[in-house]
Amino acid sequence: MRDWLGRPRFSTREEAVLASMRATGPAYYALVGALVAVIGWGLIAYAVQLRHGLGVTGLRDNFMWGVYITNFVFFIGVSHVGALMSAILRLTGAEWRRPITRMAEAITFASLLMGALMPFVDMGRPDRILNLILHGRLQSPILWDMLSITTYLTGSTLFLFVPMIPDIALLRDHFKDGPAWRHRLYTVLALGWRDTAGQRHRLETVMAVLAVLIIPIAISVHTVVSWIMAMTLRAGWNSTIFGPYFVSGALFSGAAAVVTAMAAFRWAYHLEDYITERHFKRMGYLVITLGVIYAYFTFNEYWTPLYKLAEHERGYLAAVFSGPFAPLFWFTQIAGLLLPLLLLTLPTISWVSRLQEIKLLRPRPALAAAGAAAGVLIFTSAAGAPTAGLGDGAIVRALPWVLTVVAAWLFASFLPVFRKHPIASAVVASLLINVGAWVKRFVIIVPTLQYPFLPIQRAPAGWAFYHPSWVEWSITAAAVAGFILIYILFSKLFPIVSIWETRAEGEAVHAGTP
Amino acid sequence: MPARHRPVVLCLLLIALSAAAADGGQPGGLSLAEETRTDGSWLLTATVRDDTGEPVEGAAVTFLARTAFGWLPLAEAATDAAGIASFSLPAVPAYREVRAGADAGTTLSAELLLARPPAPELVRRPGLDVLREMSHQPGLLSPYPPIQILFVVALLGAIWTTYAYLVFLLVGLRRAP
Repeated sequence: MRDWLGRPRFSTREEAVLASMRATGPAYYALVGALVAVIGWGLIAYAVQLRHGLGVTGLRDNFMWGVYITNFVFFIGVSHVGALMSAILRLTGAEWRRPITRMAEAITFASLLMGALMPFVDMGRPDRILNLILHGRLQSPILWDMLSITTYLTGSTLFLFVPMIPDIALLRDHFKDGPAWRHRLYTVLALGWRDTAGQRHRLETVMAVLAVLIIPIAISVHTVVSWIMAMTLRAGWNSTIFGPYFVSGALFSGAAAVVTAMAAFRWAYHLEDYITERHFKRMGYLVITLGVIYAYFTFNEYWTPLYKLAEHERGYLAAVFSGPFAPLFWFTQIAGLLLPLLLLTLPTISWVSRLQEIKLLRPRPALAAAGAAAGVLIFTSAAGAPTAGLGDGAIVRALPWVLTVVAAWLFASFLPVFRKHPIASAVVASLLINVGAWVKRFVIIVPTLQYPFLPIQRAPAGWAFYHPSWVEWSITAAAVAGFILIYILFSKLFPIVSIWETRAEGEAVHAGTP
Repeated sequence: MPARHRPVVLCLLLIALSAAAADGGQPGGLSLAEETRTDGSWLLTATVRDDTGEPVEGAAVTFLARTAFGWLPLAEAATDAAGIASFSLPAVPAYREVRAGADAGTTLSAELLLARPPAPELVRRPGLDVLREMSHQPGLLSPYPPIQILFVVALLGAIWTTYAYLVFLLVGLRRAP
């Protein structure tokens, strides 16, 4: 439908999407400014690293991988969801996917860009990157990785772009009076789209081929990422199921990232008509399914070496399960897997609402306990070394357990609140999953490096442990900020919800069709 | 002869006997020598002498090489009139330690550690000179790609060709009816 000026007409909810592209208030500029500042700080940190070498990081001879490769695996994992989820749902005809597939595909694009940057950042001499091509060894999984990521980035960019063409044509006609660059950009990218039968047929053909093609490519990419580790003979990495383990973990964290994005855009761009509780519910089911698969692989991955307890793997396993990496590992299993699954299944658990009948499990006592625990934490941190005066450090040693108990108490007391607000519950669950996913990648990479088959010898004492430096944290923060910035800018240039794909659904809703 | 001269005479006698032994040639037994040839092979020469140092003719000499599984007999030869039996050992890098055994009344044996052969000169296969200069290793840009490179190139080629075809279809959208 078009108005008398030849411009396309939009429904109320479509206008909301377009308004989100035009509206740039103070909050938007503040957010963009903050993100740019973080990216700028990260660039300064990288300049320091370039100037002084990797010595300014926590990376050493035995720890050639650390936070950077953790970021790499994390971002590549998150990138899975867009292409894979969108393609699978598209091929299986799941109609409810329509308002959220573009968000997922844009996540793929943004996270792939950030993920692909990380190996370069991890290199002490990035000027030698060309050697990877010039002296490339096809026996090296690093080269496989480069080839597969390049292929995946190209395919997922096409997969994001192709379904956008009809929408870009709508924008081309809608933004005729807007800035010239914008109109020109849409004109070029619309590829002469006129919505004819022939064009639709051709577009459907391209989308169908891409949807089939992108699934094995996406799976292969994260399998190859896992092979970087699994192709080595090292404790913790020498595994035959690393490929599917990584793919399941990637899908799990990626689906959670989509839930976060859905909630953020729904709230910021007022997309309540598009993204309803029904979408959160279905995505919740998807995340639960993927989470259970991931939990199964995790159990398999650790149970087999733990049962055999081979001599050379004992140090590594002890470090992960009860040693220095145990807090991180158990955080990933409890806060990053178990609790999110519990939060997502809350709507189906009726007894949760009765928890509030117990006075101790109401939010106020739990909040008071959390405040007290925070106070003790601040006090002991400020006291520093003299904490020995507090019972020979017993309080300090007990603090992690106290904090865990308080956190569990706080969580239990808020369960009924989460049950009443399923979207908030889904967002908390997805954020926990993503934080847990990042930490899990760290736990996969670093402990193995700390427990090599050949003992770390003749190295300064500090080199036997990995402690990320401010440079690494700054660059990591910049990467996250870069991901969010790309995502936000994308949503300002293109509709974050597919207008043409959801038009029929909107008309059906307005006509009263169930 | 005065008793005080006896030690002197005894020493002189010993010196004379030693000189006589040296003058009489090599002591008896089996000796093994090597000679490296230009093609990397070795000529192993075993010499058998009797107790008086005379060459033993017709003694059976066995040449052996140490392998991961023990001493491997390589060849047998009989000594000639000069007491020499020889064997040409091919340039097998795994053979570093060789032994010759002979039965000339008593069992004789001698071992020899072969000198490590000089590394053969790097032979570059003829091909694309530019690529050879860029990479000296038979890697990705080798003019003689191994089969896995062909496989990967075929797989990636199929994917990228599909991409190209899809882009071709997209570019043609403008002309679609």
